[in-house]
Amino acid sequence: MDIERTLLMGNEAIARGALEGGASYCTGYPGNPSSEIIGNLLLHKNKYELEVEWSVNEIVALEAAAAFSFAGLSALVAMKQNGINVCSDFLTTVCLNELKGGLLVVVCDDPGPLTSTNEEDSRHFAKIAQIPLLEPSTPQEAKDMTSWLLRLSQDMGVVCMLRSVSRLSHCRGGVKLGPIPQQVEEPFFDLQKPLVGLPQLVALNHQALLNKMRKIQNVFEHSAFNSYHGPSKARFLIIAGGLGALYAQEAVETLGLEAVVGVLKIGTLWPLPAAFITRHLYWAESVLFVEEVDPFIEDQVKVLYAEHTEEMGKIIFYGKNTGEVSGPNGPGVGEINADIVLEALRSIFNIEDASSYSSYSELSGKLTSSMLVPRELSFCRGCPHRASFFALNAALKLDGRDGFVIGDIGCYGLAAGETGFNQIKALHCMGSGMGNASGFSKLSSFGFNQPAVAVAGDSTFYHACLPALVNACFNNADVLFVILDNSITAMTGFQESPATPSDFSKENAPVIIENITRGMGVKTTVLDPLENIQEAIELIFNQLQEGGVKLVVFRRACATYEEKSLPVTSFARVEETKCVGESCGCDRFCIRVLGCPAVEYDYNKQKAYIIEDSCNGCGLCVKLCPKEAISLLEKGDMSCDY
Amino acid sequence: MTINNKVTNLIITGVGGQGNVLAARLVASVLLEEGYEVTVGDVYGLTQRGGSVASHVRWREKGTLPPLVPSRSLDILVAFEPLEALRVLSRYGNEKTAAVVNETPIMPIGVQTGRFHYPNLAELQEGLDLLTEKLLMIKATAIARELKQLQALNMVMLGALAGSGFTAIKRENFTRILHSYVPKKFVDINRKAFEMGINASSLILEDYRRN
Repeated sequence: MDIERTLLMGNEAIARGALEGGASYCTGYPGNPSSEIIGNLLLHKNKYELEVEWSVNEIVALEAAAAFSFAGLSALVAMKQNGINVCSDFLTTVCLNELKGGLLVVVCDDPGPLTSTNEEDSRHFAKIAQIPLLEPSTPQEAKDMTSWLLRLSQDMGVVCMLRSVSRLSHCRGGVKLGPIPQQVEEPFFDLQKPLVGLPQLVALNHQALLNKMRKIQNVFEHSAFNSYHGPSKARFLIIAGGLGALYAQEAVETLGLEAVVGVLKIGTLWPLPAAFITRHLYWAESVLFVEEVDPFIEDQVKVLYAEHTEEMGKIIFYGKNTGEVSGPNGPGVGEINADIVLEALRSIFNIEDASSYSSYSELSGKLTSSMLVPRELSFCRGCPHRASFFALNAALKLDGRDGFVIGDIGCYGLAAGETGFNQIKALHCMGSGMGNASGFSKLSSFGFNQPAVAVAGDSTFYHACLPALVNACFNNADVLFVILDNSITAMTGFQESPATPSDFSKENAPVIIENITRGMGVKTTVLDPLENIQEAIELIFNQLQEGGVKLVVFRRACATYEEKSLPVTSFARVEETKCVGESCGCDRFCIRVLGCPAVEYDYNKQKAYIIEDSCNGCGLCVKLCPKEAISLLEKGDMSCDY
Repeated sequence: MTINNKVTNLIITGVGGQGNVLAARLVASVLLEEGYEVTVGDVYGLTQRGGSVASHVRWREKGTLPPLVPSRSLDILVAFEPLEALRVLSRYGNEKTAAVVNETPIMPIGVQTGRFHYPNLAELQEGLDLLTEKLLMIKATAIARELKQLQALNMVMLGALAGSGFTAIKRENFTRILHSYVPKKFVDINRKAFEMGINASSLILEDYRRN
């Protein structure tokens, strides 16, 4: 009889692995696809001897976690791929320490990307920092590798790294659980063993690290995380990492190539188990690589081959460097899937793909081109960003100097599209808008007069905007910053930020934005943009006419988050007698401009109407309708006319 | 004993916020309990903001499957929105695909603002019919509204799937584990929604048989 399996998401499995691996402290900053790791551990916080926190950014998260390791307890840090850039300054120095407790960095990459501004391959950081790296193929392995790496980290005294990808972090599968250790060491920081990275010690520490990595490579040679499926002495070998191993296996089965093709699954990616791979390479005449994003395994295996060319004879390599493993945008771009592996194998083995020329494909192509319209993302019903960007758009138009908005990552990033009136014209990494805007203001000495307004969310403000704000003050920039404070980290699934009040009475947020900025001497104005849409427009316009560093906080709770605890009490309704439709002169303002999920247009009646159970009664359309044809009603007296 | 190791591919699609992720979890939990190896692939992240969402549920007796359905390999489609049904079929559908589709459209923002036109519903349904072997169009939104609980739409659709006979998943296994997936006060309404979904697809199937 099987041990009972529990259905776990990849990220839940990593969280479970943290518990089974004896982590006492888990930190991280929210970011898709990693957010559920810390989110899930927070649910267990009180059940086990465990500290869990949302840190203010990834480097602080790693520095805080390292303290536990310094004192002999184990810790885990979770982040998305961009996070490893933020924490890399500390990572590339703490890796030189002889650690007492385990320290595991979990990075979830986003090939595709599905929800990111890049598709960076974080595996390279394992090479840069010279730390052991594993990548799982299933939720079961995600859990097992997490707990195993925490122990390896403690045993060997090195920082370890686990790489996941969106599809693994967010896929669900059956997982057999293991026991959670109860006993925790007494924490103690040994004053006789200072962790000081003085230049004269660095070379010695670096040497010690590389020695440990050689030992770890030996461990990896025999690791159960590496495996081979296929005929013995296969002449055609697929070397695959992560989900690539499953895609490869499925493609081989689909094409009936099991007797000819072997799949070598590599779970220990750095240092690579060279002897294990060499044993299989020895028989191979052709090798195909399947892995997410960059040719990381591919490049290393080629180096390995270069060292053993004579004994191995000629091998033809297929992969991203040679172009056979490629999605629609070319090799090394986008996420991989079974289709990509199937296509590569079909072209190498000359197997025709019957399905791609079928009448079905032709028909679906025809129907798609005539009917399938895109479904672009939009702000939720009642979203305060809709009002904020409406105000920014109106004020910049009034100002008339071709001003623009620069943003960063968060729900408000959607303002690069129609839902936010196409306002955002540059968008890169956390807080980048603030630094960009300071720089734009410096262009004035070269005759540039377009105002650049930077926006950032509350969580982003603490994460990455404070240095840019100080820089703007220090270097006398003329710049307007707008903080879109919805008091939560909404985009990634509503994690608390330092601006999140414990009970929605706006005074008691742990760290209050305007207290910081006013303390810096920045002129700061706080306003609810939904309640005061006209004032918001005037405020932005007026601030644009003034010199110096100005900051506006548009503060209004995230509507979708608020709805989780407060029921919707009102809704808007169009009074048909007042709505004059296209003859208004407003050109169907409420739907054309607002793009609210609840407002639609009846082309037969020539009137706007509101889907009442989709409306949350934010009232923005009520305030903006030129004919005052929309009014708010209480939910209680709703005549239910479904 | 011989192992029937055929892969079954099911996709549950809809628009962010319609509850497809929970529906996929329920299906997967039932399959896991029934002893299958099951993998669910979800697209996450921006799902609250009105985008297209799809959960790929894949299972077989033995051997872990990767989380994405290969192109043209879909066996069963459950679509909470008709345009999303077309989107999924255009890539994953084939001559044998069976589908349970909610009739009620949700307008994409580009349609609302006038840049695009939502296809004529009759033509869309005709297109879906051509792209599937069996198609059940369900008035799921209307049923959920009748229950005054729009969020129960996903349970209506799961009921419709259970009533369709497109999978061998046992109905009672769904209702049995429902309580561990929805808050206590919503269990009854969800169970009711599930049953109304079963009835809705049973009625359509009966009609088919008569004609």
